[in-house]
Amino acid sequence: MSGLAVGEGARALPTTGPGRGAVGLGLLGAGAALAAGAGLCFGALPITAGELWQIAAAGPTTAPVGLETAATVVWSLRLPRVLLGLAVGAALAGAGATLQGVFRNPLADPGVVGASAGAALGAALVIVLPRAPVALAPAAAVLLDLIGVPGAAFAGAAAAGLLALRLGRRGGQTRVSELLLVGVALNALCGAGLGLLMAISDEVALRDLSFWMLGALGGATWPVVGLTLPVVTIGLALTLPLAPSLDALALGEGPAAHLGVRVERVKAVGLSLSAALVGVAVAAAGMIGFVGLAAPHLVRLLLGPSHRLGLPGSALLGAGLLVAADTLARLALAPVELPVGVLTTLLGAPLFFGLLLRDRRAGGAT
Amino acid sequence: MTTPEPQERGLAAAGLSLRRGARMVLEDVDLRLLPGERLAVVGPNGAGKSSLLRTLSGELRPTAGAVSLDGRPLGALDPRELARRRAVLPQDLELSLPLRVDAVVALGLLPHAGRLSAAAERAAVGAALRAVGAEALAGRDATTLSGGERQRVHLARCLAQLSPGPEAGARYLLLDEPTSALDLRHQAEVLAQARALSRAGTGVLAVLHDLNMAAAWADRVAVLDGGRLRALGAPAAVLCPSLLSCVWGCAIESLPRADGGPPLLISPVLRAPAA
Repeated sequence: MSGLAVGEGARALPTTGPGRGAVGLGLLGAGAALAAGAGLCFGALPITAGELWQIAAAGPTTAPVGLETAATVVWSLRLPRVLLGLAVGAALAGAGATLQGVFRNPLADPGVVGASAGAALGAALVIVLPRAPVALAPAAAVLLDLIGVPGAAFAGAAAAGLLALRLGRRGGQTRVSELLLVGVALNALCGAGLGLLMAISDEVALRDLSFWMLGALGGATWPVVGLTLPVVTIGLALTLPLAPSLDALALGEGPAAHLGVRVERVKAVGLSLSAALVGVAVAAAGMIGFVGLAAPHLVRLLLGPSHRLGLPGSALLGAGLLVAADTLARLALAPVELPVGVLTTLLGAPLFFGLLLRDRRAGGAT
Repeated sequence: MTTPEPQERGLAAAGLSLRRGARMVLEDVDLRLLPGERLAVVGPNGAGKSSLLRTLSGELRPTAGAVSLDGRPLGALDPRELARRRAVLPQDLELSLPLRVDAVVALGLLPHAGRLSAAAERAAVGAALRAVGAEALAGRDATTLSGGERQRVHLARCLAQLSPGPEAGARYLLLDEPTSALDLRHQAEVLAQARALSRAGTGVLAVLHDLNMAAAWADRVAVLDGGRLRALGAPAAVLCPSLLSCVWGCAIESLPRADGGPPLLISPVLRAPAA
């Protein structure tokens, strides 16, 4: 019975050997490095690659003659911003790829399912509410900003993700329509909460809050980078062992369990890690939409649907994409700086529409 | 691992009951699938066949009673160890990622991760695809397959899951209507494949709709009706027209065969219309 399907136009897919995967990941990594280099060079003060090399060689404490201003710009402004962009982009894209595996749905972006909004509401609660009582101890306030805000953002993201997982399912399946409805409700609820907080907050807090509404990397400082980068690196590393189980989950929860996958544990771990990644990303840079949707989607086109390449590939592509988008956002309307969240949404929303249309044409079975 | 006592061998259900909502889907079912045995489960729609299979596989937790594998309760087994010894072909085959066919079959090797070389994994996937005659599909996007192709590919995934060995203890394969989407040739080939597996020592349980197929293929037949086990035994003893007519609620006749094989069971549809 060989050759059965040949006549039916057996669509030959490109072979995905281990070599091809390594090359693909290498290319994505190189792209992220290139975007980071461009982010360091481009801006109000243009710096050439040669000058950047001199500044890097001189180290953070000394500056090459004639490049004193440029060195300050690189070390205290652009480098923390680029590193934060890499971390936030990788976190959002890695969380998106993981959530899509857990929800068994390619549309499950942290913003779409409401996790980002939940994180923003959690972070905003900490920014606005306890400020008055804590005012007595400035050191405590700093600690609260650095630890309390991401912690609350994590809790908000986890709560929203759990709600979406519980409410967006019927009979063990996550349906697009229900997932989107839950996302709409969660986003509206969190938006209302943010509005309420804005109404009762003082002017300083109000300025901080409006930053969350748009999503921007302008708040990048070394302490923020110092907290965000390690958490994101560890969080992403912990998602990698989930890849085979997430592949098996594509068969459905029952069949995955028949293959020895501890389904409930995989879902809980995947959701917690995603919430942690979204939490630190939102705490550092606010709500930046559609990176978690676009990067995994492009990686599936480039490297195939398996999570083994999809999880690390999405993180690398997300890192490069967000830094490139942020550089573009800084340059596009110079001297005015466009919040990068506005740009990613402008670019990402049409992709989302396209995916929805394709899904509907395919019968909307997912 | 100690060898189980002879009376404990097999995938066994003892006093199995399952309640879903207010309805008893299974009631007090005792059943033992022995290593190397072919057991067909038949019954009318809603008799609890799929529920029995899903409870035997550990997917559904019984309301009362217990399932054991060679004397050990399913809950006491490590999920991966259980997966190395028993594979399940469900009735609803879904796939939410556009994985290639060979990648879908390779998912069957997940419980053996780290125990096989990459070359051994490729060989196991190739052998499983050949066994169901689907090697030509290896490079296809598995979400574009026809119903019959999909059924054979997922069977290949189950074959791959049970193929690595040797390991202590017998292996078991549970098939939920494995031939429902297949044409006549592929029905015969899939059942022949299941027969070959059983001859090599694997216990195979198949939910089947076609009574003649069950009679021809199985060593023993279990008849389920309203969640209860109505009969269990050799096909010739169990598949008698009077019992079947009573369980299915319609007149089922038997027709002797010229070659002396088991008599054919005839559904009312095939009876000549009354004049």
